[in-house]
Amino acid sequence: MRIVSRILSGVDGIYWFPLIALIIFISFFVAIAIHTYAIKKDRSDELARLPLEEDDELKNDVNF
Amino acid sequence: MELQKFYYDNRIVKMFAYATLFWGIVGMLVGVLVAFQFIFPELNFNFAYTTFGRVRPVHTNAIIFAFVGNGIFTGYYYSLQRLLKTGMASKWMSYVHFWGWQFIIVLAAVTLLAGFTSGKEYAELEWPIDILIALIWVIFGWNMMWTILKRRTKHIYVAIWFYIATFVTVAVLHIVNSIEIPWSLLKSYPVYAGVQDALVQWWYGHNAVAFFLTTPYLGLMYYFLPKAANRPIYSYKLSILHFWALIFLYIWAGPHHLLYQSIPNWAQSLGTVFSIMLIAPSWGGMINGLLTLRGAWDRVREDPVLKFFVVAVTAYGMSTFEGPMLSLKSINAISHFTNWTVAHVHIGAMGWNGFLTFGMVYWLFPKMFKTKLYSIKLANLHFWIGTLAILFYSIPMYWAGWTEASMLKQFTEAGTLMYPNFLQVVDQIMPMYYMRAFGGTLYFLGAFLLVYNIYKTVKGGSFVAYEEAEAPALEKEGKRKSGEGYHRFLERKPITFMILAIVAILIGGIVEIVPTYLIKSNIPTISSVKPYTPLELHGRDIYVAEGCYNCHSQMIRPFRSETERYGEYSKAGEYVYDHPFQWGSKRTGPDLWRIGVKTGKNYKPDAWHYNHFMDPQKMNATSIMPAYPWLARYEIRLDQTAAKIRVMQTLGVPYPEGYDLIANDDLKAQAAKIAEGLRAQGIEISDNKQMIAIIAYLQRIGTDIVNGEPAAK
Repeated sequence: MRIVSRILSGVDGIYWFPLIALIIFISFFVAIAIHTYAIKKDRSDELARLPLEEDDELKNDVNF
Repeated sequence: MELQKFYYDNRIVKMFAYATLFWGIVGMLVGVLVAFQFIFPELNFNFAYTTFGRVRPVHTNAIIFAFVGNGIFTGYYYSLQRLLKTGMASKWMSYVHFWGWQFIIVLAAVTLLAGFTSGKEYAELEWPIDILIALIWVIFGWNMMWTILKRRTKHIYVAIWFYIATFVTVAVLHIVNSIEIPWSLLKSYPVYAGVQDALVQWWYGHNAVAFFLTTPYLGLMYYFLPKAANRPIYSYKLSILHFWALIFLYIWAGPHHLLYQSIPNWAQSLGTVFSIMLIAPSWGGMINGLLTLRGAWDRVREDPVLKFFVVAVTAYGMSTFEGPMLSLKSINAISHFTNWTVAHVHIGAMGWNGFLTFGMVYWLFPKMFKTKLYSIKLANLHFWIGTLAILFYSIPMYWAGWTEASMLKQFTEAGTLMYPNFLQVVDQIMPMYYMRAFGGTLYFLGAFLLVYNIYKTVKGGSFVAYEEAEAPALEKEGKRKSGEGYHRFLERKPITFMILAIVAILIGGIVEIVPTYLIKSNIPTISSVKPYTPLELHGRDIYVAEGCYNCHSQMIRPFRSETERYGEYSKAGEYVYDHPFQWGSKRTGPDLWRIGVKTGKNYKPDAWHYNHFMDPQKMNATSIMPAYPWLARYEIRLDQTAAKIRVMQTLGVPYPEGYDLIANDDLKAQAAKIAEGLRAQGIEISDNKQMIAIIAYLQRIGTDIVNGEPAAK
């Protein structure tokens, strides 16, 4: 335990790490949310179809 | 554009699928055995290798890392190649990954049964295997990133983001939680102790659930559910949002495993708040999965694959709602340490992971063997048996959990405990253990139907080892174009994406773990707490090796019902020399933290402990504890004392300089005294037996603050 405390307390300004981390977290998440909201519908539909495109033989509607 | 011809490697998929079925059967069979050990303690066979404390970690590790692990890789190798329109980048890496993983599983089973364990749940494997896991994991990840880089599709589908997040996070979790210093070829002590060890362990433990049992399976869901339903995923936007939210939030929630325990209050609150927030992204995934079936519900009636998927996603939704609820302190006060938690995890394991795997396997084999499934009827039967099994398993366990909490917390009008003997509770929930064993057996039988059905399907089909495919090469694209969204740009930059995912998960870890190492007030020191004597240290290692933590806690929460029953509640400062911590997570038997306090309610003399270890049922007829007769036969390894002491010194435990050389003298003196006392009671035992060490340890734990000065406030 002490070994870890010793290593960590040697890092300069480590007390700021949690705060910086929190700010990065919130701002990044907000940016992702805004960006996601702005994606056009036809584009997101196209991306949603990616797994279905690749398998041309799978035209049948049932698995068995 | 010219079409390029390439091949999908189905062989690696098939190998992982067979391994999934094989280890699934093994893991479930071991589960059935441990379930029956609750009812018939004789099934521990009076044999070290088959006692519950050693077998239960084999069950959990086999289900998580062998059954679910191989299940992940089955679906991953199948979907990754097809989503990227390329074969795997390196064939040898795929196969080293496969054989390496199976080798790790075999090593795990052997070492755990032999008693080599780190004593940290779901991370029990010892240091040489930890290193091997890291190496094989890197090979798996390297191959994945390489394959992504040589893809023929522009964009990376959401399933693959989940795979990337799984790779990086599991690597980080595994490395951080496994930092340990070896003192023998197969044993080590973790660098963390007590409170920190608990925080790191449950940061790992919780995120093993998140990034081994959840994110890769969401990846599989995002591929196989649309395939089986032949419909695109309901909302791609939702998938982006819930992906980022999930990996950001999950990593913070670990401390909810330690509510009301000796960790700082701020960490407990952090765990609770983030757990509640987790409902949103988790349900984002569930809703996205279920709504993908909109307009296809009529097919759910006929198609067993979709049936399995629907129950899997529903179970996911139920567990991820229940989890946050269990993180509320008032509910956790009831549920924690009881069978409620066992019910909760089995909804996840049997429902979400199990059923998603079954559905995927039923879908995959006919595809790879170019045939139809041997029997849809049998698959439907499996579905119903499995569903009933989940109910038979979980309902009795919920009932048992509630009963345990109600009885343990019940006071008489005079203010004394209504059920002062823990065995009264064990007796009461015995019928629930019977029903649970029935449910578990049913689930196991269902899995057998799957194996038979797949065997017949394989027999009737012809395997396509390398499936031919064609696609145009990917045009080189560099910088972000004007008008291109950032996330869209990110989706075609896998390395940047991976780095961002690492940043996302490291943030939570930093916030949670760093402060506990730095703020002194988090762990008030207690001057009377001293390091273990060499004999007690040996005893502690036996306690760990036998897996006592699987049934006994060493953590008394600050409730009147617990302090009345077990004694003074636990203080953070009492555990500073505990490498590893042994707080436990379930009380099949009573808490042991104050068992050695002579003035306490639960104090037992040395001779009682001896007789109890030799034959628990002789001391308490209805006890379900296994017997440990070998402790009276096996000798204490005196040759290991010096190495243990030296590693402890390196970790900061204040043994005097040069103590390693004379520690055995102290050990022998203390052992002689205990053995003499036992002999005076008519028990034939020599000084050097393991029994003496474990008794010394049990008589020591939790006594420092009682025997020494009062605890610092």
